[in-house]
Amino acid sequence: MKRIGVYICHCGTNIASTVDCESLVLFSKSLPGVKIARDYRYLCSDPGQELIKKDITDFSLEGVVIAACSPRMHETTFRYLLKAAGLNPYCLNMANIREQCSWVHQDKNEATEKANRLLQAAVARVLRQKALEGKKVEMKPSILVVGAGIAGIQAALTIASEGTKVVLVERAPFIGGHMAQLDKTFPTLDCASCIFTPKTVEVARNKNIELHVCSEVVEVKGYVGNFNVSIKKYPTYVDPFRCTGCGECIEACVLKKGVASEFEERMVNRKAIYIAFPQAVPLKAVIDPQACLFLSRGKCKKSCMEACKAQAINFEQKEELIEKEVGAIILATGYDLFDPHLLPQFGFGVYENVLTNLQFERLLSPSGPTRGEILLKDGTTPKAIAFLHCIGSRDENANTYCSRVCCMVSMKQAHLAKEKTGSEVFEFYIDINAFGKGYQEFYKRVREEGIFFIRGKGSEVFKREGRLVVAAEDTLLGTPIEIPVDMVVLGAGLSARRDAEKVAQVFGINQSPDRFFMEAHPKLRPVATSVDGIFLAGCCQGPKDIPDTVAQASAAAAEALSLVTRGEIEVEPITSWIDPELCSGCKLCVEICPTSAIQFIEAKRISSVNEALCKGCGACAAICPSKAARQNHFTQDQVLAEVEELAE
Amino acid sequence: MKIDPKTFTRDYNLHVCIQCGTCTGGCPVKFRSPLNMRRLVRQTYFAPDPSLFRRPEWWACTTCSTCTLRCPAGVKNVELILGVRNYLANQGEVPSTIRDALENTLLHGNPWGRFRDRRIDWAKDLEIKIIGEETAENLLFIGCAPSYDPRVQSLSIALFKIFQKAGLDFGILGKKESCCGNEIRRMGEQALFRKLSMDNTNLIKKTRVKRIITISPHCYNAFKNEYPDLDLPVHHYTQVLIELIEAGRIKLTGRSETLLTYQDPCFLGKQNGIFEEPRKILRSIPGVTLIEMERSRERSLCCEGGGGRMWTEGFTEGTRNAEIRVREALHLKAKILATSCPFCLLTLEDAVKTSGLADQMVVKDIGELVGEAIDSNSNNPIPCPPAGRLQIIINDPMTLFKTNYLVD
Amino acid sequence: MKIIVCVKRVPKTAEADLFIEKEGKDIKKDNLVFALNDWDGYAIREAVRIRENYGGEVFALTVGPEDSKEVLTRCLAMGADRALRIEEPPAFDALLIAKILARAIQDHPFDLILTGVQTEDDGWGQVGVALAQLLGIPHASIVNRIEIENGKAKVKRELEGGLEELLEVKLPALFTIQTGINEPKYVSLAAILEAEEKEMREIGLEELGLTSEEPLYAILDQVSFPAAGKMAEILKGTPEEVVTQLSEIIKKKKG
Repeated sequence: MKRIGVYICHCGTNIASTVDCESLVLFSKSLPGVKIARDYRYLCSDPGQELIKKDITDFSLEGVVIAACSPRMHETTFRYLLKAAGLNPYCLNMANIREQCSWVHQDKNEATEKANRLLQAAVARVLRQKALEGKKVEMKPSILVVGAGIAGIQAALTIASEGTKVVLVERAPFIGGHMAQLDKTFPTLDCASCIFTPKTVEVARNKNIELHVCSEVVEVKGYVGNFNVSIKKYPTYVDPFRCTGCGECIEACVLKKGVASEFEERMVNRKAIYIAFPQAVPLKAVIDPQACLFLSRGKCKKSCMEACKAQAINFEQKEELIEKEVGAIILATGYDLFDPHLLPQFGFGVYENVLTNLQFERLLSPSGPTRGEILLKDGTTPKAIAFLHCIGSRDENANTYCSRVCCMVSMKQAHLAKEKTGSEVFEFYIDINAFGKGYQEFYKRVREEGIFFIRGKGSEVFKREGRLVVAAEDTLLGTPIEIPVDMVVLGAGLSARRDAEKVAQVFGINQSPDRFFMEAHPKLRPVATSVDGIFLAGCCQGPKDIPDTVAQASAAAAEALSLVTRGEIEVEPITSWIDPELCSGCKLCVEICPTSAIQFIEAKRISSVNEALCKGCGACAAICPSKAARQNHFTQDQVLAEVEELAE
Repeated sequence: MKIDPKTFTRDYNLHVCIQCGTCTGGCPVKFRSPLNMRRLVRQTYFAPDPSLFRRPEWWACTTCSTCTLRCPAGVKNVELILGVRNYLANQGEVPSTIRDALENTLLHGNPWGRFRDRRIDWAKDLEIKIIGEETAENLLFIGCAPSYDPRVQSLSIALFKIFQKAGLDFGILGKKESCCGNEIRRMGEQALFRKLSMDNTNLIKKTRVKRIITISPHCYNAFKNEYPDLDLPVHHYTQVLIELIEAGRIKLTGRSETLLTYQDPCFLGKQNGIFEEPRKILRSIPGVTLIEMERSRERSLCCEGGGGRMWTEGFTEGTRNAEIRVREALHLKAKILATSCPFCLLTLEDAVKTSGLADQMVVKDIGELVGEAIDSNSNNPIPCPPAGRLQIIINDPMTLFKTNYLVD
Repeated sequence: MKIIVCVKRVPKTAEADLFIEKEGKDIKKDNLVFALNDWDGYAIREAVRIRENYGGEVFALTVGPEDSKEVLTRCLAMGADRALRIEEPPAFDALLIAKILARAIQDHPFDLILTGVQTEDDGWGQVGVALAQLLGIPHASIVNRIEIENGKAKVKRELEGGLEELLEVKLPALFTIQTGINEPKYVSLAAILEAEEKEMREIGLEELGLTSEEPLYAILDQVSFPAAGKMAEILKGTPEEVVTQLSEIIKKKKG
């Protein structure tokens, strides 16, 4: 019989006030295998731990039971303790006599009786526990960053500066994401391009960063430290090594009307061959195969080819599939703007001078469709502009969450609009979310500039006698109002990407109810996900402004680096194992495994568990009809012994 | 049945209100009455003195439901109004005209106070099936205004003839038909509404109809959304008409080139999402060009006929919304203002008259327009005042027996 | 103030299809809608109003068949405290009804009796006045305003041509109530359902010492429609045409 030591913690008065610890000690001494039993005020403290450590040596203990708080609190602490004392950490069992006993009962006799039972069960189990060794896994020395907006760029640069290789994958033909569309950023009114162009240029220049634009990750296999990713590179029909970005092909393209430009938020059209904007990195033309007459209909005189002096255009270009092996992955896929078509009361898509905040940003931008002037669709300057807050956010009929940044965006745009046009500017708000550094001061400044703040959400936009009218209520005065303006800017919120479900599935991560990717713990683990080795950065995890995005990107980079630079990591041994002698090859476990950790080996006609992917949920052990699958540290005899003692 | 106003907060979700003002901002009577939904929600939330509920503006609401539909927090605004009206009605504290409408409904089965014996007079020259005596696949639920109001009766007759021509198997409940109760519930008489819904449901269950077709969107709303035990499909007549037109069972022939615009009724459009069918029907009438008014579809301006407003006076002031709508239509140079609700029909036509525009525009229901387009012999010159034949009956004072005035 | 109100359940006939029974003594009533007599509604409301101001009790009485209970329920919903239905004799005239009511009332002390001026069906206008005489109390008819002061009532009577007569009447007295004396309050269905819990008694004629064959002073001979004929002339046409015809007729008949 194994030699067991039992330790009962008072946890101050948390346990001791409801459970009679002394009688627990006496009771423990009567249990089979127990060589020593003690109680102590705070077992997790240094002296408490020393006590146990000394006993392990003095009494040659082979197993330890600690009756205290929930294992979620201190199991790790006590496992380290066992290791330090020379005992395998998995020879520990904890009986929860706090959360599950003293904290939920009031009668001392009953609570003590229950604690007795719990102890009895814990001892029976620990007698059957086996020493386990974690498996060591090698880390591949590179990191994949998905998405090259400001989050992806920041993460990539942080990683590259440390010396680790980065594979940076971006879906669009240019890097910079939504930030590239911005004019000035709040609250400092820095020009967005000015502050991030040095970064994008560095990304292009840095030897440690392998950039792939017009590419998407289509498959991810493997596990932490050893991910095998497949990247699909779409054909752009332009050879990037030859293209100089001169733009002659674009002039020559025969498409008269063109198609709506995504970069310009569909306000103007672009040709089939295009460069998103004049400062794009990389500055290479790409062809949209659906807009291109030759590629979609086979009929075009290909004036672009003629015009190209570098002979860079190649209609034979094919899709490429690139395979990479990386140690960690950072997702920085960004956001999509809420589509105001879904809320018809605002007249978006009906009235031409009702815009989204991002569209207005393009008007502000000097590289935008109006060269930075605020103009109505008929080319005149507006005399009154209304900014409506909370469009599609904080709304039971759209997204229920607050999009965090739109208040500041609205105020920044209002300030710039007033500066550029001198028009009357109205902000229709419910609350002002000015939470960051310098934000409240900016709000005050904007008010001082004479911009009208009306506390009342814009209820409806309609036209009367040729002018747009915003209907709302000034709730502070308690009077309904209808204000005629020339232009309405809708503060559309930030949503998860439209294909977030697909991406989550590819990487095997979870989404929060609001469709953004879910972090491992809302407070304490904001950049990790439920999958070891995959991290999140930027708006793909939730709406945030640029300072927070950059901070989170650096954090994700740091965590990814700390993982990858370790060389190897130890995987927790509470995994399952399939006995090849007993396995009948029915594959039920393969189907049921939620992390796809079990593989069926054709050659041997049996299933086998990849310990690095296994999360130890026990589903395979439960479903296996031949009892071939076993859950380490939760074997059948261990669990049944516990249950028998409890049920007695 | 004692209602405790302190339960309103929980029942109508008032505690989630963030006072954003979207409700008041979108209210169709916000400039015409002191009704301020946001303020009333907050005042009710603070467990009020019941004198709050005796303020007249609670009766100005048309129950268009724009406030509830747009509320970002999920407050049940319209239900609060109905709850307060119910609280008042149970104590007998309703405006006198509402009192009459409710008493009439209990006694005669309709708020107008007309007798049941007269409910199917409109159909006396038609070979109409009375379900109960005969069976049919479809029940055409006429409703009170289309049964009794002379202006709306022409819509009932038009629909009868259209459905007959299309070979639709349908019948009506006849004198046994009672008010659907939609407006009754909105005037606060929850108990009477329950009684009407039970009576109508039992009546309908005894027949073996497979579908209910309503003329009024108010009846449509009641049957579809508020009758608890009705398990039959319910359609508004526009949904049926477009089916028949697309299946080729109705052939529409030409009329003179006309510009026409359409008023989306609140109970059909914004509340029940039926926007396309009426438009499809109008566009399939040859010669007609449909132009949209400024505020159409979800933003359609309420005509102020709903929520019991047909039977209230004096809770609003200023230019009526119906008059604003008529002027909007005029601005578009439309000759016909079309709609698909008897209340819109009546309020808009009234507005045409009071605005002195009877020689420039007519108000017609879609059913009437389709009826005219089917009958290729009809030659309605547009514009014209509502075609009518006036009958005056001169009574000899010796006659004690009252006769009915007939103006059609 | 102990107030007694006598009410009647009557059919509503304004727009109904009317048919004479084959014996010619009455109209067919099974297809008609019944309700509380309009004048009696005002009387009940007035009684409740007086009780609210001076305290006391309102007691509603009716002589009628089983179905009459529904108008008594309504009276209770309107605020009456208790109600009594007396069985209706197979044939009756105004005086007999007054006699029955007098018998029922004689055991109940009262300060005031209110009745309607007349009913919507028979329209005799006699029961209230006859009842006052049988009880030996003063009365005033067609009353449109009541004020109570020190055991006396100051009432206004509605005369022709907008004239009013002011009377001071010592209580106990009986007043027949004219419509418009007060603003009727809405009676909700909920209130009616609640009223079904209040006290309502029913008695037969024998309990009053009467038989079902008391002598009548007025016997109904026949009910018939007025002869229809060339009394009404119907003008047809467009509004313009009709107006032309109408002005001709007016000119011919000299205004």
